[in-house]
Amino acid sequence: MTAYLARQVVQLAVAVWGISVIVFVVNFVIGDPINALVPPETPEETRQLLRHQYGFDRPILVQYLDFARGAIVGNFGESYLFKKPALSLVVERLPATLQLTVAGMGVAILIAIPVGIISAYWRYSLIDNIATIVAVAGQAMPIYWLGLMLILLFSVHLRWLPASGYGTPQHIILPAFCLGVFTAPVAMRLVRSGMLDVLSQDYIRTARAKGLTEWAVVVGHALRNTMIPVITVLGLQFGQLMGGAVITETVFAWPGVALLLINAIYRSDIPVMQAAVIILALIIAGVNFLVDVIVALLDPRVRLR
Amino acid sequence: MAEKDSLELAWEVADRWHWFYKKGLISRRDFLKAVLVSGGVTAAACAPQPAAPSQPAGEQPKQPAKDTISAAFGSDLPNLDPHMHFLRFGIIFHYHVFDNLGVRDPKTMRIGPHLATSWKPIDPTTWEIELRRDVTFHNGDPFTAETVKFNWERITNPEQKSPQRGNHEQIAGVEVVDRYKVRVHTKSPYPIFVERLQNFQMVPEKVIREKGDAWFAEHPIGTGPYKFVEWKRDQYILTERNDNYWGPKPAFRYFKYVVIPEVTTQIAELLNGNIDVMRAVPTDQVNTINNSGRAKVVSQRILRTGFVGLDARGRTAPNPFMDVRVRNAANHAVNIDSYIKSLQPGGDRTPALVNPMAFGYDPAIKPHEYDPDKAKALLAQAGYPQGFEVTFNRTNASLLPNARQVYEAMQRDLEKVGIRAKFQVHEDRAFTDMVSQGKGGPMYEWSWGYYSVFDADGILWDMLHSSSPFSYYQNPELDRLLLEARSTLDEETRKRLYSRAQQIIREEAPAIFMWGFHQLWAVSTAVNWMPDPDEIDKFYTAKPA
Repeated sequence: MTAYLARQVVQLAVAVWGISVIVFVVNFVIGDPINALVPPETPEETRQLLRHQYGFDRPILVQYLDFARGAIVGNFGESYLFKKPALSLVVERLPATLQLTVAGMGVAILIAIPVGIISAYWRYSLIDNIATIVAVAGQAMPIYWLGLMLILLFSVHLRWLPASGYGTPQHIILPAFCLGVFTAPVAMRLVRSGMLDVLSQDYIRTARAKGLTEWAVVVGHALRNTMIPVITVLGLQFGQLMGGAVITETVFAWPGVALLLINAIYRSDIPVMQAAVIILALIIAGVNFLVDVIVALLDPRVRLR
Repeated sequence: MAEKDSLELAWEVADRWHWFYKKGLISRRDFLKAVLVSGGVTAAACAPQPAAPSQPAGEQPKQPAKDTISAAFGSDLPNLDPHMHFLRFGIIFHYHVFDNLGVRDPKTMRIGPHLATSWKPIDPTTWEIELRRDVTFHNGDPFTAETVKFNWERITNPEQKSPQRGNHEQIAGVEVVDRYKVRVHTKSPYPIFVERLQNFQMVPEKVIREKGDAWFAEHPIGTGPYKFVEWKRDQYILTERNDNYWGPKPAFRYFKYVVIPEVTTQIAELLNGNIDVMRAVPTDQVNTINNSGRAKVVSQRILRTGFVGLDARGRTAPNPFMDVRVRNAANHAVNIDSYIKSLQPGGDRTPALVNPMAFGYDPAIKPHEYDPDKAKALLAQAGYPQGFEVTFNRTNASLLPNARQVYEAMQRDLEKVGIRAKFQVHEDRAFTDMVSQGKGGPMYEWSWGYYSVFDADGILWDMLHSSSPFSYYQNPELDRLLLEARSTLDEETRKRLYSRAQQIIREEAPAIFMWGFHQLWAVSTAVNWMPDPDEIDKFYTAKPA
């Protein structure tokens, strides 16, 4: 267990370091960061001075080391735009993003598991075919487009739900649904194929022979064994979900980390970019670790070595 | 929609399923399922839709008269300190909480009095400003000559790192004459001094000294028509009418700055009645908005001027545009009037780069006429009877409405005379770098906002003076004229100098001259409001419709 944890931590550290280097370098490759901090009319003299004050005139390696030294202890520096510590800006917005991702995941599970079971149980029936088509469509629809269509239908046309904003339970319905529909198909297909496998196995026949109800057979026996790959995939999907949240937050004006990150990218706010990307990476890695633990709990054969 | 009560419709559907059931076509279980599903869907689809104009979703119908004006903006403000940003959205917001020494009169386009009641040059490098005597900050602090001195010193202090410092670089010092009079010394004669009195918001000295910049950046205290109430980051900024305001008081009790990054979502919220104004409406959405009955699109000319830069100086590399005949040929080849007519919400032609709204514009100078034959003849004279191929650099974030269509139309027109332009589209920030470092040639799209300075100097110096990083043209005579025009305070002399400069520019054609942009705003039918040409939306002038 300790060795396993240690390996995970090392892997995580390498990944996060790689990400931080990429973010840092890309920023300098695409142009002089000072351009994003002052209007184009600014005289060269002022630009020089600012470049010096922000330290952009130092060698890039020195700048990186300087940044890395702070980042290790959670000090990503002060945002160029906000004039506040970058980490606190990210942490402030984290609850909104987590709310959205968790709700999206919830919607995905609520769709995927029942539909997956029904599809497998009534294999090749009308309902299975419809579910397959919907699943393909769900995956194929760009999340951005889906979001706009949901707004058009539920907000502009039907006027049931707000199109944007944050604060009340109504506000989360559309973005979470949007995110959920985007994530559900993969899990749903997995549930279906897993169920198909399991339902044809001997112990299911035994369970039926014992006279158990269909409900007990399917949900009690079959589903549990189907869930192992599903949970693993959902864990992996969490990263995708966070990526999807970037777009969803933009469409629905959801005040999360993604909105902050996008503006930081536009404005070359390197400290905020670094803090946001690294925190998100840490969360995704953390979730994947958690998934490993859950799988071990569900399946006694899996042992954390 | 067909005006049928939703319940009635749902009932009809249920009745039909019942008929199937009675005929034995479906089982009882299927019948019940069908009724539940189809009934639900029908009821949902036909749920009462309030007729326009109505209350926004989620609000009580018995709400009193509208007391808030909300405007949508694509991003939040990084901080609420008016000296510590350079964003258009920030300027707009700060005009509501703070006051400027002068503001632009939208009728004359010149700067009129505001916190300053008058100003005059007392020698070529000194301006004397008289101030209002009845102004206090929202916290009760008085506004005096000391405040003005503090503000200029703050913004020009290198340690402050204000992104607006460049605007005030000419200021050498401020001297307090008495409680309501200051003298401002400039490094050299500075004719656009008056232009700098606008978009320079006065912040309170005592508060900033006591509480510090970081506190102030989240708790702005100004003298403006609205007082700051609350800031929910990435959601909204709420302000409330300043009932002690020295000037005309706003009609709406609240002004709300609402953050909605996605344009389509902005439109949805506008049609829902949750916001009243949105900026930069995409041209393809005009009909949707106008037909909704809930909002109208209005167009306004703005100062931003577009052109296609030509590398006359060979800064990037030697190229055919170094020949003046080729540059004029390119100008005759493009049908600017037709682009404006068919692809723009409007546009004001700029025969020599200067926007008609800017001081110094010479209406006597006529634009290049559309004449492909003349263009071909000029190209032949220049030694390009077969034309030539050229790279046309563009940005992925053009500020020109319908940019792609406009430049494609231009590309086709140029090709007709033999100039075969190939697009290369760049990421915006890299593109700005390219152009300012002399790598934009041989031709590149560009537009310039003058930083809201309505003066020929605002574009000609930056775009054409040989010392500017954005200039791809070099002409000692033009350099001299531009320098002279920015070194004298005499308006007649300046007009004469700019007139001559524009004649040279028209003849020398260092760019394909395009037009001053028009911009689109959408305004709710519940509100009476018009945008101004300086693109600083002033919602304190809005009234309920």
